[in-house]
Amino acid sequence: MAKQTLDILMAGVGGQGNILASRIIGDAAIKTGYHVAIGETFGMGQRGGPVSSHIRIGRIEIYGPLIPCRQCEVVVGLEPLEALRNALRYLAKEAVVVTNTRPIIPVEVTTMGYPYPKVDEIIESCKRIPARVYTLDSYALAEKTGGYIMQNIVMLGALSGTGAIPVSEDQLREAIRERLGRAAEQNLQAFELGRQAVLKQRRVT
Amino acid sequence: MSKSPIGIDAPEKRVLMMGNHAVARGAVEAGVQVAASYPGTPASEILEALGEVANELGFRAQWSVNEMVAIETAIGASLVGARSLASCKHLGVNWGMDPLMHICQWPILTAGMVLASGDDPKGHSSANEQDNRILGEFMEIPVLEPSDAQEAKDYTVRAFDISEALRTPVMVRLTTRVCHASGDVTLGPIRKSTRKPEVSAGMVELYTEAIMSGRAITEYAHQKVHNERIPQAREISDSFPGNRLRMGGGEELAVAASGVCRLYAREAIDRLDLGGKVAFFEVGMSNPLPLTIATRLLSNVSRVLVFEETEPFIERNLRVLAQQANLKIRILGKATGHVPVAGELDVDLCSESLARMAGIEFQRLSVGRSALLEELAGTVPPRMVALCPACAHRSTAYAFKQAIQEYNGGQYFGVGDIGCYSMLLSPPLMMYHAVLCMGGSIGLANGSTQTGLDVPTVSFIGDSTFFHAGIPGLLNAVFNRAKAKIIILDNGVTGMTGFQPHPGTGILATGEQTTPIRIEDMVRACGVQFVEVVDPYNMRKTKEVMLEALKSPGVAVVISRRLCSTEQMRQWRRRGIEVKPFVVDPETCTGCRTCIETYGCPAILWNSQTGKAFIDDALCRGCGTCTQVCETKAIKPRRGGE
Repeated sequence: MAKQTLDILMAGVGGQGNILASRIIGDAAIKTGYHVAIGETFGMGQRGGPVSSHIRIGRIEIYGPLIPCRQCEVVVGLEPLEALRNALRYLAKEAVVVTNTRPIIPVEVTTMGYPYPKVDEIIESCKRIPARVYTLDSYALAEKTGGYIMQNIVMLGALSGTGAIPVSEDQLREAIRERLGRAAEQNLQAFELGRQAVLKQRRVT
Repeated sequence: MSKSPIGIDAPEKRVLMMGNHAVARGAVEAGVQVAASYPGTPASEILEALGEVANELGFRAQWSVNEMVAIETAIGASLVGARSLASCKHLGVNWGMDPLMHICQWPILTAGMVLASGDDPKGHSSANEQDNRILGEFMEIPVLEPSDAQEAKDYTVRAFDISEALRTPVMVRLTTRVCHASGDVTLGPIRKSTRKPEVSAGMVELYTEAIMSGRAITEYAHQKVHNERIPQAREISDSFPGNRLRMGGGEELAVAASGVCRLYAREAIDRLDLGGKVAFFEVGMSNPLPLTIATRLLSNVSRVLVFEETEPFIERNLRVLAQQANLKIRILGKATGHVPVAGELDVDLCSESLARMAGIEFQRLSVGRSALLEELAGTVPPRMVALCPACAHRSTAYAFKQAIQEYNGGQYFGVGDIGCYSMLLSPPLMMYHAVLCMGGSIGLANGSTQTGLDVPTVSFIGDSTFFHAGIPGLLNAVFNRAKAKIIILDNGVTGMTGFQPHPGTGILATGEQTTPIRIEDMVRACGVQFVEVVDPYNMRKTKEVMLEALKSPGVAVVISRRLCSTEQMRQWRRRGIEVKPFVVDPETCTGCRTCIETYGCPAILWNSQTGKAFIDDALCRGCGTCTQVCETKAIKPRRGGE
């Protein structure tokens, strides 16, 4: 039977604003007329541990809040290593990875000596899965507006820029306005910076 | 009117809502009058959401001191005619079992009472797996199992009605994947209660009936449950909309599933193209099972494969029903080895199991199926949880290690408790030999100190946990002259579950002010002679006080007090205060790795090219405690313009 859902996985580290960003996608998808299920893995992971959101969008049936292995159309990486970790497990063939390039080094790397791969190697690995990969330094872009705290919204803009989701940029902007109230204007700028960064890469390729 | 979707009066509006918020919304729609909880992942957001709207909607919501009190609060309200909700994680229900095991045998509630239990299969945020449906069965009360946010809301509304009809608590049994999953929810109307609370006959009526019947009162009440409530509950189960059987006729194999596993099963059936080829029994109310529907299923197929979390609960009960009806049918699941016993299920596990039963080829597309992916996965280092930068627990633990080293060369029996500081179990500090349950740190010290063990027992307990479960153990230690050394890590919030207030904070679930209870007053009132309060950011002073505590003759309590650094950051951000990060001076750093190997702050990183430590300014929160760890004084505050 044909796949009923479009699956997006947003992967990052506790404190990066993963949950908020995924709920904005959910709001926008509902406004567009879809059903939505978002599985959020946090809990103990809320401080420094890995946090991922499984976002499933469908017209009729959305099933449960967890994406099956290798069925996901887009992996959004708020952190590059987490993008790769989740892309390896969940990404469907010939799908999209859009990731921030600034690493957050796990304590295990510092204290236990595990190597953290070079960011270029991480991106190369994503391409070998294989996937179409878009990259941006979401922290640097966020610093141009409201500060690094808005890097999750930069990544939301980047996701929108890939054109890989069935939700328009205007619906996303509207959802940002509703969720963020007074902080919306700066966040909308952050959204735009992320979106343009990916649109530029799409024009090149 | 409320802006929060929990409180808006907008029937038919479709909003994105997480499962926990949907339970809260269900309680609001059902006209809840009193709600109580103690924070615990994955259930904390239920009461959080209710606390935000309680005042404007005119009901009461409280963070109770512990789950036993929360559950008693709810029972007390329902006994005088107010609809009530108690919510907690699975382990919290253990605390409430004493009142629950009584109220469940006394059908005397006069208003609906719902017990929302957030179970945590796989233990994402728990140290055990526990299936509270079994407690529901033990209590002989109805158990409802929503699969998503919409059902979490709808079942909660129904649970109040069922509770009122049967005069017993009803359990809404959630799991992490329901609590923390968001979905689109269509809101219903809000029913406001206008009922005035009043005293009803309660137990008096039952006593009279028992005396008239000549039976012992306890036996009489229990018999009444079996004669009346359980048959009524079975009827309700047969007409419960979440209990559905999809069977065309002629199917040989059926799938039965409950909770979120219903959704996994539905997806597995679709992706294996088995729709119409296998019968599908969806269970929304699992205790008691719907007798008529289940019997129809069991009479018409020859095998039933059951997907549920985490114990084989439906599986076992279906087997009982089959045996009672004398039906020869194979019930397959966890008890028979056809479904994994421990942890969570998912679509892939359900697909594999179903494919095997249906004789179809299916293999998940996992990393291990491709040499390339496996090779790439080998380059990804692990990432576990860690205490935050600037976490005061780290400083407390470091100071203690210094103190115990000086006291006796570092020998002690360390018992941790439940909270962020349980993470001190992991390297580099590795503080504990045991971490068990709420209050266990002091409770266990009562035993270990009575054995002649020749090293001190040291208990580490958080502020919220101390109020929850530490006080009886402490009182017992003083009473029985146990020489427990107790460190209370007071960070001013219930940190791990999301910064909820507790009796020490002076803040209510609604955000209003109340009188804070001082931990040192409680400790002194328990009769402890040695009570000291320290600031863990001053690690030298903290070490000195801990050393004195270790040398003191009896029970000693050191309260290590410093606001949770993540909460501090939230407050700073609101007030526009900037963090001033620290830096490692590469000229002075000798690359000895002491800071990394003994302290373990995630903001201190290692540059393998230069062989020196450095600090990530995006992570550093400027506490500067690492300056007390660095022996060469290489860590300094960042100067302006640098």
